[in-house]
Amino acid sequence: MNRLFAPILLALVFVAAGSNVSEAQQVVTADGKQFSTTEMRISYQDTVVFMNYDAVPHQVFSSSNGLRFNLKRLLPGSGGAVRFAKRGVAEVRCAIHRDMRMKIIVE
Amino acid sequence: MAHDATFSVKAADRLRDLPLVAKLSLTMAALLLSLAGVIGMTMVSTRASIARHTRELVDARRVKEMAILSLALLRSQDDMSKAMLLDPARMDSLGVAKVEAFDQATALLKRMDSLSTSADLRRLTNNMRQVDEQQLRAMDTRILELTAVGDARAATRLYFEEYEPVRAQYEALVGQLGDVAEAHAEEAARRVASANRRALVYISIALVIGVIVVSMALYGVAQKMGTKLREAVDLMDMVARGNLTRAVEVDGHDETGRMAASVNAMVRDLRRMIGEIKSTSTRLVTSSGEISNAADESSSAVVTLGEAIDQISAGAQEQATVTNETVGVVKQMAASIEAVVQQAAEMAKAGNHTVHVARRGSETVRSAIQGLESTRTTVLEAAARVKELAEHSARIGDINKTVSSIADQCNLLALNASIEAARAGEHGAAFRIVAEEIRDLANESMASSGRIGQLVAAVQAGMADVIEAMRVGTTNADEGAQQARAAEESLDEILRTLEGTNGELQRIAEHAHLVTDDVGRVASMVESVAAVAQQSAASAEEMSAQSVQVAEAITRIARISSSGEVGGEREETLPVMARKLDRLIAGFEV
Repeated sequence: MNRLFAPILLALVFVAAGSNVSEAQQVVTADGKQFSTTEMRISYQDTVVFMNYDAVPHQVFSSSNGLRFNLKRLLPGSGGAVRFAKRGVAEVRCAIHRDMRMKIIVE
Repeated sequence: MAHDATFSVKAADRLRDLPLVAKLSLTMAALLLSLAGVIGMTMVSTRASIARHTRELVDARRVKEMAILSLALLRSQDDMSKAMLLDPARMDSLGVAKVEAFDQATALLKRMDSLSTSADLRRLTNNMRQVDEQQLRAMDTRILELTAVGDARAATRLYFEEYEPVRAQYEALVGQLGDVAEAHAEEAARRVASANRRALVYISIALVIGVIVVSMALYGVAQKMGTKLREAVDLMDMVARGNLTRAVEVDGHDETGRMAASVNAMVRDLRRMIGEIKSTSTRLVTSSGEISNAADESSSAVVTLGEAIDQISAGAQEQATVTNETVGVVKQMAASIEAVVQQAAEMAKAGNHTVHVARRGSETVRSAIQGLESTRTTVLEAAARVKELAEHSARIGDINKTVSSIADQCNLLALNASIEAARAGEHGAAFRIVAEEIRDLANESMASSGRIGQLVAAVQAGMADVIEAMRVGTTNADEGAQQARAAEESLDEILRTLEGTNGELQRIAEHAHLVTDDVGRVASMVESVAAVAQQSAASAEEMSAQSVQVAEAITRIARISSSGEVGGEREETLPVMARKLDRLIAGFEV
């Protein structure tokens, strides 16, 4: 069910992300209490969309210096976008499921 | 085997011959090395033990501190969980903080596990990790999920009914871990103190043993030195009593051995010296009599010598007087020779002047000769010219005769012309006048020619006189030149004679100077002879005075070398001293 709505949500997120189509956008999904990838490389000013495909809520955040963000509670089927305006490495985790970890390298 | 035994004996001999200081130093070095080895090994062992126990103590203390910190973090997470249960909206902010506290607690647990060296500590940390990973974490995740979806009631029930008892169990494990860690720390501290005490005891025992061994070594050395010193002192006592027959035993070449050898050598030398003194004293008695006789003979010889010296003194005085007179005569000679030198110098000066004047006269004669020769040449040239004039005048006479002949013929022609004119009559009147004029001219020419002839004859006669006079003048000039040459030769002879005389005068002056210098040296030598004569006289007087002192000294020697009393006064004569020496030496046993 969620997988059916995902493209629609993604399109909505794209619209909400702004009109600047030159900036790339990446998608990370949370499924099975794990991120879809453990490491991702993006460019400066890119946007990453986190989608919760799990049946449980997630709270995606990063405490890395200069690249902090907190998407707060992501209920099943919801998502959130983060635009990385600084270069560096962001250690992304879930505040509810402490074993969920991934790394985003902003170049 | 035999080689090893020989080597051991040689080594023992070398060790025995070492100086005492070297022996003591070797003993002390060996002892100190042993002590240092014992203390070093004790220190190393103790240090390793203390380091190990200190590390255990520190690790246990750190585990306890980490347990307390872990407990605080756990309670902090609980507080945050309760806050989220009361207000789920706070999960957005507290969730991240709770994850960070959880990470710190997990890191502490890993660190505690690595620091837990004992089995009970490791067991406790393992239990804590199992409770955390298998129970607490799953329940906490579930509570958060329920809170996140808004089911606070189920979350609260899960927290208080299931999570809270397990958390209390975890807290109890943490408290137990702290107590065990503290017990381990105290045990490690006790072990450190025990290791320190043990090391102190070992070092004290080693020091006591070292002091005892050093004392024994020092006692042994002092005992040996004392024994040798006592033997040496006993020998010295016997020597002091006159017994020179004993010796100290010499064993080894250390200080005591060398001291014993030196004492023995000293006693041996004393024995030899006493023997020599005995024989010398005997010879001294004999020699003193001989010295006395010799002194008597010397005394008379010295008196004779004094008289001879007086005579020498008188002779020296007389010699000094005569020499002084000689000095005066020599000085007078020097003054006379100096006057001769001055006169010779003046004569040489006058001779020089004469030579100068003679040279000038010779030069004057030489110039006169040159003048005469020049005059003679001039006269000869004039005679030649006069001869030429005579010839010219002779030719004038010939020409005059020709003119006179021409005048005669003109007169004859004029006469013939007058005759012819007279025959011509009136037509020849003018011609007759011309003929008369020509005849007059011819007559005048004849008259002039006659006068010329007279003049030429007079000139020729005068020239003949001149030629004769010139011939006579030339002859006189030749004679004058010959006489001048003779005068020049005479002057040259005089000049050579004067120069020879002058050279002789200068050589006389130089020889006179040399004679003056010789006379001066003779005068200084005679003065030196006079000074020596005076000094000889003074020395003779001094020798005379010293001969008196020598005579007195010989008299004193004779008195000392004679036996018995001298001049009614008792003196220490040589025989008396020799007898005393004999008595003293008789007390020695050699």
